[in-house]
Amino acid sequence: MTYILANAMFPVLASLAQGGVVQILSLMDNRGAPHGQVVDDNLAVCWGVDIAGYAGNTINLVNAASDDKVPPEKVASTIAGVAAVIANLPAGRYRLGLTRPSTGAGGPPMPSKDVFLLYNPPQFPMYAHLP
Amino acid sequence: MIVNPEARTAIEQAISLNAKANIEAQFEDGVDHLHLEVWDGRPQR
Repeated sequence: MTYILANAMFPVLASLAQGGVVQILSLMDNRGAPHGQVVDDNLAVCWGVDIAGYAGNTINLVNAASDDKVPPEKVASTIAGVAAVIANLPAGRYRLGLTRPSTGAGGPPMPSKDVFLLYNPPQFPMYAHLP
Repeated sequence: MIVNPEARTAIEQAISLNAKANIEAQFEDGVDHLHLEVWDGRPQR
């Protein structure tokens, strides 16, 4: 399989890079959407990116289940990183998957520690497996 | 609606200052990253 970036990704990554160091967690893998699409037997086009940090701000809300709240410095850094990404996007249409608090990737929801959007199982497919 | 007041202010300010970037949807995603989809990168149908 050959993976290529969609044309619209280039100005986005270039614009972000002009505003600071972009820590890319992942582009596209064989899972396909929402990071991209397999368009034929040997070609996949990537239109999504997971950003782990931007302009010196780590984007991460991982915390211990025993913590009363996500450590404030993590919250502040994540907010600053997400805001900086938005501020440095070029003209275009975007969808944002905002960071959620949990003990780790695929971990349980922690509604009391939400920073961005409220825990909302019917609205977010990632919670479909939960009661 | 963004829960945290500081987050809400920061995100709303960033969006308002960069009106050319049209944020068409926001949803919850992973714990250790911001997921960014470039809608214009999708195949046009």
